[in-house]
Amino acid sequence: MIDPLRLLGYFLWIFKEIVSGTLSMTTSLFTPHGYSRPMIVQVPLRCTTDLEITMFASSITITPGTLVVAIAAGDEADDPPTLFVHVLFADSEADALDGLYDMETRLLTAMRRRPPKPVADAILRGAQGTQEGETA
Amino acid sequence: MLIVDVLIAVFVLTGALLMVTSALAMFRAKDALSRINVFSPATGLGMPLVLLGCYIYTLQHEGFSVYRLLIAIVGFLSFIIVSSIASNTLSRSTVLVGSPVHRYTRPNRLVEPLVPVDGGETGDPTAETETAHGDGPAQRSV
Amino acid sequence: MSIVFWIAICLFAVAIAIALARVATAKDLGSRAIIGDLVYFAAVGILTMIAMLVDLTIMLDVIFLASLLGILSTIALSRILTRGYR
Repeated sequence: MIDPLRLLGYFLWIFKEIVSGTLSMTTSLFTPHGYSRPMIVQVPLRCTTDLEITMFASSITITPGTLVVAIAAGDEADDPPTLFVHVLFADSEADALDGLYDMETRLLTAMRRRPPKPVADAILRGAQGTQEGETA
Repeated sequence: MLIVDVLIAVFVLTGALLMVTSALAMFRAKDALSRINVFSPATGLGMPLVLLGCYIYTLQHEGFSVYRLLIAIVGFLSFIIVSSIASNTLSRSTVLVGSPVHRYTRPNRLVEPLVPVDGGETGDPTAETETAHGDGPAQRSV
Repeated sequence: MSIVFWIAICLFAVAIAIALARVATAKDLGSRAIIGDLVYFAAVGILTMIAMLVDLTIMLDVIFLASLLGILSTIALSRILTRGYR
């Protein structure tokens, strides 16, 4: 089931993400104002098995700037397991969710040999809606 | 020979500089979660670089050996994986214990859950965490 | 070559000093736990540098064991934070 070549590519991509995240964190350390924009976003997952969820949580945490804060287990029906992720350097919530779902798509493509279903549009629009509501 | 020396120096010094960077970032970060967050460059990139420099130094002075290559690879991977799991555990217990979250943390989905826009009733995905930390850590702010 | 290792030792020592100053000023326990982790890793770095300075042959073993067992202190600290609750 697991695609070894794609998994290796995923690990290389994670390494690239670590390096670029470290660079952005270092540059923002030496900017005088506005060090970070902390937020805690909610990520309903498309991962189902424990292995996938563990790998995704570890990948998120090892990337500089993102950190898994809590995990809510899903039930069997239509309620997906959910991660709460602390994001430091994203521009907006929709931006942070885009990056996280991109990582999840890469991981699931490597783990299942086929790309997962696209993210439910309602989640992204929910993030954007509250964002606009808050700024207005 | 010279190139190898330069490589070792670059790796070791970059690792040490990343450690100093993380220590400085502890002053810029405002709450415990941010501090755990900015700690990951030090263990995710700095310590593996130190290990890499150390391995190249060993390779230069004592020659190649399968045993050393093996423990170098395992050490490299375990720095990354172990520090990630340790950060997960520590952040989870920080939230559980109700450590204050900085007031500029916005949006804070632990307090105000994400609601999908068009129908799609998702139940209450935060049920478990809400009961877990009772009054909630995030309601308090620094 | 050894001047590089001395510079690296100084950098790690600076990191430890900054982190200890931060421990003295931080108020919450989570920050102190993660800074303790940073001090641990910086100490491992210093040990590695000293091992390279005096040409010990076991330096890779030291750093290997330190990387594998570094999680124990963090998990113990996080368990202390929650007072035994998982």
